[in-house]
Amino acid sequence: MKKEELKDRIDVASEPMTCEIERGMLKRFVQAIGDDNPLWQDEVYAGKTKYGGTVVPPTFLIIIGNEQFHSYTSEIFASFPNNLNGGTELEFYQPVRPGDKLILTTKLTDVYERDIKVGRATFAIFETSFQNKKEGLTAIYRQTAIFY
Amino acid sequence: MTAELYFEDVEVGTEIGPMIKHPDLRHLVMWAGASGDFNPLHYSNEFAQSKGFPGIIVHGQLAACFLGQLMTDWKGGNGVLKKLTCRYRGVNFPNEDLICQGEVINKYIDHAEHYVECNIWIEQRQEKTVTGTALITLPSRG
Repeated sequence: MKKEELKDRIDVASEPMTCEIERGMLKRFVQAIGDDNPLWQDEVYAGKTKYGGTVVPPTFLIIIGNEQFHSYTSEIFASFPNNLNGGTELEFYQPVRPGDKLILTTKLTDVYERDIKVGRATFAIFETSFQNKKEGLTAIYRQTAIFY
Repeated sequence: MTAELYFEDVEVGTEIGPMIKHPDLRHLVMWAGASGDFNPLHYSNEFAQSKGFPGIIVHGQLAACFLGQLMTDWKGGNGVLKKLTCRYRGVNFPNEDLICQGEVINKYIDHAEHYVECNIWIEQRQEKTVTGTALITLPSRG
């Protein structure tokens, strides 16, 4: 793929993928970070908060989105092996709870060029949306890739 | 972790943290398993050096999640994280402190919700390796 062809991919969405928020995956996530906030695992504590029960750490959605992101971008990253992580942005609209089923869709939303230290680079913004059937839009995860 | 934090408890300039993380190689392996990121940059010194790094580096997403924890620890059980952004300015190395901190830069009320805007960052070796922002809502005493 050439850089000029990247723009043709803008707004071409992946197939939606359904993910169940699974307790084992959540446990491995909080253990890896070292986050023992009782809001994630203590129903008695969480029941007394505005959430009414345990919820997942907001950044857990990064993990959930990874599989689809890699699938959607594998051809792009293979074409541009010199790449940097340009940043991450997360917007949260609804809490997510263990057992929830979320529908994920990923798409390239923007491509532009900018000069960086090593020369002219192409910036690509990828966006993953997380939808809950009952609650609607739950979160948006944007990642910036820099190809140089 | 903050027991309960109210909108009236914070002001512009209020400091958040510091929260110190000290991931070792085992933590990076745990993160690889949890996240599915098996890039050898994060477990092989030889590979990392072949790519121009002094050695193994910490996953960028793990650093972002540390900043997420900084905010969720601080906001308390009735605060809500609305937005989190991170930019990676430099790499982080394992077996050294990652100092996660933040500062309130704005607070306002909109549609009856009480918002607090923060700058957040990670420092290692006296340099800011990750910078970002966080937006939360907090309960109000009324």
